Amino acid sequence: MTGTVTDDEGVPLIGASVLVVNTTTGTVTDLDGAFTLNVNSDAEAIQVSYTGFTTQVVPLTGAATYEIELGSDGIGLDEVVVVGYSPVRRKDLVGAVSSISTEDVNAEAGATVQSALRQAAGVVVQQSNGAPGAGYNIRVRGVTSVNASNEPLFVVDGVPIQAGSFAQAGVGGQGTNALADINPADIESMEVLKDASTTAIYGSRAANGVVLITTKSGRSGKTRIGYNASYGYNEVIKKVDVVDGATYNEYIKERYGRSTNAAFGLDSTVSSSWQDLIFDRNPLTSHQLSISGGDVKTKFYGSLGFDDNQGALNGTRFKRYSGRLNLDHTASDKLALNMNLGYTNSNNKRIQGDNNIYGAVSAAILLPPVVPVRNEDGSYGSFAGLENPVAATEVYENRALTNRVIGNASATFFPIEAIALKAKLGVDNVNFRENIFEPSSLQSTTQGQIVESSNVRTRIINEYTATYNGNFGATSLNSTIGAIYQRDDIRRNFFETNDLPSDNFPSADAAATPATVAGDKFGSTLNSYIATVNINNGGLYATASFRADGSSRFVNDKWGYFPGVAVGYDLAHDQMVGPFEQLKLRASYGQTGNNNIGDFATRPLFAGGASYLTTPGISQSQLGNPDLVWETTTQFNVGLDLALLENRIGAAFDFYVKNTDDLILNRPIPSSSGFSSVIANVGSMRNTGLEASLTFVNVLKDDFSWTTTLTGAYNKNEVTALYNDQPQDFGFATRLAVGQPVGSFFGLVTDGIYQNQAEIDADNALNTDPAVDRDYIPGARPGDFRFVDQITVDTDGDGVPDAADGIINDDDRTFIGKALPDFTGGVNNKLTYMGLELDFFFQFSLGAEVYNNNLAFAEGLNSVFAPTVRAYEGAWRQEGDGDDFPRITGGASADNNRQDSDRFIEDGSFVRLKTATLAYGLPESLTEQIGFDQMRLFVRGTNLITWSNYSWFDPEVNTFGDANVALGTDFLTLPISRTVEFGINLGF
Amino acid sequence: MIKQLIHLTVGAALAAGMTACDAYDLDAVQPIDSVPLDLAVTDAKSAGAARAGVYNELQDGDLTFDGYVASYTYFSDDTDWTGTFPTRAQFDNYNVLPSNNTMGSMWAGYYDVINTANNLIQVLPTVEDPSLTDEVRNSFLAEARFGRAIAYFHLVTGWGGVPLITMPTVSVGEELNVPASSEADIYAQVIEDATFAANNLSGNTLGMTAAAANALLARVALMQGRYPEAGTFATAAIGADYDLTGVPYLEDEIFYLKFSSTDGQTNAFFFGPAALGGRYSIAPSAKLYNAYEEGDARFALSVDTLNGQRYGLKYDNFTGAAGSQDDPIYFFRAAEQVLILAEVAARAGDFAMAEMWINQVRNRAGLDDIEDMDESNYLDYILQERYVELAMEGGFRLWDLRRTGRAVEVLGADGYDACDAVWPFPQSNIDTNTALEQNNCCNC
Repeated sequence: MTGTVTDDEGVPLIGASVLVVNTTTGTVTDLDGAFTLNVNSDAEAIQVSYTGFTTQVVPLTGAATYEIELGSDGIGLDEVVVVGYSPVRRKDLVGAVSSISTEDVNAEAGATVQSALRQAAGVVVQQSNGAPGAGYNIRVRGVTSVNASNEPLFVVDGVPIQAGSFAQAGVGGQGTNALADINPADIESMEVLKDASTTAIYGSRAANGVVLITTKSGRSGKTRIGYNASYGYNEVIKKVDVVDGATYNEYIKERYGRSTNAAFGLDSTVSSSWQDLIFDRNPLTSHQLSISGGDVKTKFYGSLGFDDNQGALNGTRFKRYSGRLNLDHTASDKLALNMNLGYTNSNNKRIQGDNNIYGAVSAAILLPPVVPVRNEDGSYGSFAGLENPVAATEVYENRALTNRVIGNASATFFPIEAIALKAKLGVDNVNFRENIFEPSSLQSTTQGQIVESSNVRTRIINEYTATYNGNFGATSLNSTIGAIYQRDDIRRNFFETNDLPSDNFPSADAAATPATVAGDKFGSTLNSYIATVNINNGGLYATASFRADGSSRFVNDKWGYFPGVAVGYDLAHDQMVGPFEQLKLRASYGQTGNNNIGDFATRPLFAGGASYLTTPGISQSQLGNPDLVWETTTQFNVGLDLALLENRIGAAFDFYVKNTDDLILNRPIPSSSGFSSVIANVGSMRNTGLEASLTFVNVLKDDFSWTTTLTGAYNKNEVTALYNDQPQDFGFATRLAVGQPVGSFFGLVTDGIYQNQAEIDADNALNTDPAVDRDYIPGARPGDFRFVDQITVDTDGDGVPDAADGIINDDDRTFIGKALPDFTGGVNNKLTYMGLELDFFFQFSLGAEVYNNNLAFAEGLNSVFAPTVRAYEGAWRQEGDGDDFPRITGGASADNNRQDSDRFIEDGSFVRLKTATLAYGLPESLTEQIGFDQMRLFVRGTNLITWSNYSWFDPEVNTFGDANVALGTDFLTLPISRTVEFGINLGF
Repeated sequence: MIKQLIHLTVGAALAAGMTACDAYDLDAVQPIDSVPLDLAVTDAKSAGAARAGVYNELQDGDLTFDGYVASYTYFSDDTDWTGTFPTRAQFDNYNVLPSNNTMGSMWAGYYDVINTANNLIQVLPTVEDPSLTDEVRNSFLAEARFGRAIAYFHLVTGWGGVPLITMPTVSVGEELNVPASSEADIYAQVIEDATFAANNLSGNTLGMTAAAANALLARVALMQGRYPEAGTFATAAIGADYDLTGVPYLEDEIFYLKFSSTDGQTNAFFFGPAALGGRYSIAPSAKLYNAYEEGDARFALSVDTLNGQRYGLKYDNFTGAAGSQDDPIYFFRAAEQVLILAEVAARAGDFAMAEMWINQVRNRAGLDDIEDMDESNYLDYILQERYVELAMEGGFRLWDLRRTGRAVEVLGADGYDACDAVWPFPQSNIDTNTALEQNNCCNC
């Protein structure tokens, strides 16, 4: 018999497998998608399968020729997902894995590896600010660590890559994003490994989950050329309403009793709208060219990409050139060769960020509007040391330049068909530079300053694996053993030099006074041995894995061991159970580690650089802890996978308990030792959660389809032990404490505003202890906040506090909020009608709170900083004026009003129309006439609408960047942008 | 062909495996810019660097403004808080809470100096290097011990009795739980260290001198009411025949902590009014501003106003960027010793001698002589002179008011209570140091 296999568009599928059912007789299709097979007369059917398509069983009717069209799989059960060191069909998975397709990876403007993770259930993605190229906080199934990293391990084509921020120069809370070096257009799929049975094979780095990124590869057959281009703009989501010049003058009169002119020599008729001067509609463009194809032996995928993204904040810009070449070559049936090579050159233009008086956004909010953009002499106007926001966006030059190669090459030798011996070499080479020029027109320097840094990082990985694939009757077995050796070398230097002859000499050569010259060298080695077994018998699936990791980061105990096991049983494996095509119960258990600490953090060290004037100095820099070991996370997961109604509905439910022990904690020690903390294994943490992922193929017709995907996750984080259960403070008002989730906020509780002196006198009478001569709140006046006096005194000696002490002090602080959300998820709809496509994705995050520190400054009503309109108008001025904003005052009262309190806690819940895309694909009849295979036009929006009660720019911020514990704090942080783009996809 | 490829692959794999033995060894990577303790101080040169490390810790950013200047002067009628940080305001309000981070950072900064000094004091006797003569070795030791004395002096004047730690921190067990010693014990340590420094500081220090050590001993003796000794040490510091009048104001250095544009600090930024590019977090109090007599040349060198706001001039490199300002910290000036000699003489009843000394200070400032000093007024004269002479240079005013028992009387109206004789120990240390009990401060 003969036949051809095509996809639903009639394109031949090359290399599709054709197998006579219940035999080992089979073949694969050739370049034209054709096959020839000799079949016995008693053969009943053939099974035709191809990656990413629904496997079809075709009954043999006795015809000589069969034309078989494979449809793409409704909910993707037959897709192959890469898990650990071997690929698995989704339906055979027994771990908790979320997959993200190339379309979803690239759904949003300025997409990054991290932004794509929003699509996965149980992954919390927070962009720390809105600059292009800025960092993210990724939390897979909650937070597991305090002082080691909480970011998942990112693996590109099998190479664990370096992530984080490589910047050495500070610009406020924000770092750079090393994962922005990966062009999302090259990504075929991403898998998020969440449970321990899938992550344990990554051992000591997998406690925060593992994200596997597979880049595109070629397909045999016609050479395909793709060209995608888009153009659009970014704009700021909203602005904060700050007072104008005249109102500012009124404010200053109320605050200081004099006009701005009398008090500061500032002309009150000037009114600079700083935010309008720094935010604009700024363009972003993207061009992506790809070529792929090949024959039976060799397949290739090559691409070139150019992205240019100018943020809504003037002066921010991320430009990236990228190239990729992926090759697969089958030298013989005994030898296969593979190479994946990606190169990126990026130029990230940064500006001074938040929590920083030189920051553009900070200054645009705080700098009085009565300051002119430019003074009469042409210099930038400024006041109180605050940077001129326009200068911060116009003349401050900060470029982070990256050249990066991520690649791997492997050779796989098959001594017999069932055994594969593979040697693989992986490389991740980063060459990161920063060039910063601060001209003398800025506030941060008077003579001009140059800062340059370099950060050269090389990771080499040698991986040797042996895999056995075999069938014993109905049992199939797959086993891999291997050894992996990794070495990281990091060399950095940094210098700062001052005193330029003029602003026309933006070069280090020209500077007279070197200020800081630094250089260092880091590195680490990791030796690993792995073993996995996957067994599949009928509906029963079982996997076991084991990894031993030895790390140079630890001194006395270098080796850690990480087991993982999982079993699953599909009740519907051989016949449908009711309406279910799949009804798989699964359970897994395993351990993973976290070694994400500094390379030399465990060693007691003396450091240089402690110079006095020009004399070199050294001093003890680190206590170290030679006994430090990994953090260990033990995770238990049960899940249920369902498929029903002809794979039209798919669902996965997971419940997990994750316990992290031996927390790597900078445990506080008395600072009278000369150190405030020492790194130690103390403390534990627990994350408990539920995840659901549901896919509905609502309509699946030739000219109309509609798919809805729902993801939802609930996570509860709790710190279960700390060193002597002592709390630790981070950020502005974040406290880590036993019994509370990571990222909890701690402070006083307000109880309105004192409306009159009688209320204050009443409170002052509460303290009856003659030994304590203090008012309830020292210095309080009508118009100041009243705080709640918590029950802190034990009067009857039963060890339980039962009375308040009548004064407001540190005892009265309590937990007032938390930064981590309870529920996260999204709803993704994809509709197609004829050539029209409509995709829209709603993201939601519920239950998080934001510590809005802006209230203490831009709305503090105590200083020269420009107040917001609502704060100025809402200020308490007389009895009955309400409880929102205190009176305008300085000194002690203002200090009281600005204490860490629940005043600054706001609901950070939001629902966001994250992306929406409307596209039209021209009919084939038309495109063929003009010589294209495909022509598709689209318009796309990102961050289109946000529903939130948050009063400032946007709740999805963190002024502490990618901090582990100090989360959800807003302090003059640049918000994310709204983006609208138009684009075209062409295929030749 | 295929065979060759296989050979190549296997060969490459083997070769990679071989290199793995060395480059991928778990001990293959070692730090270079930081070294283990036993390699840090090994000879005269590295000992000299460790000694520079003590000065560097004295320059710590948590000390230069908050430590030496702001907190002690806010906590008196010397300066006012005009900034935005609530933790600093607590000093101005005489309401320092144990949770105050600024206070905690100062505390930690002083103990950083102490630990750095302790490390050197511990290791120096064991360093074997022929070029490290006894004189050089003892001078290095004296610099470390003088640095430690300066740190403990600030601790004892801020917090009273504090944990007394004289050994370097090498491990983190029970030995870190150190109770507070008495105020007297801390002063005794200051005196012991300063005495060693006075006897051993040689010519090759980075600025510390025997005179400075004697100046500290004189200051301590004054604070403890050992007036004759204060006179002896002050005389040792500046000489019996010292004449201040020819030395310009603020140039009567005994020992200043120095800064440069490349190793700078931030005080002028905090003192500078906004219109001069400053943060304006601190200002001379109205009382101080009005305390200068008509014609006092120090007025124009100490305070000024701009747009109606008072601001201080003791740290006036307003053109330097924050962090690269090179104003010195005026640790020890001869004028203080002259005024100590005046007070010592007056307390001994020798008012002519006291007038001779105080009038040196006054004449230099262009003021008339005091000629009517007697038992009833000498302390007012001397405290007034110290107030304006040493304004905004450190805790002098607070120390003076406390040691003369006038603090509550003078500062009480602003909120200073008897219990304000000490600041609370940082809550973080109460939490972590199981042997440390909170002192009896107002908020404790």
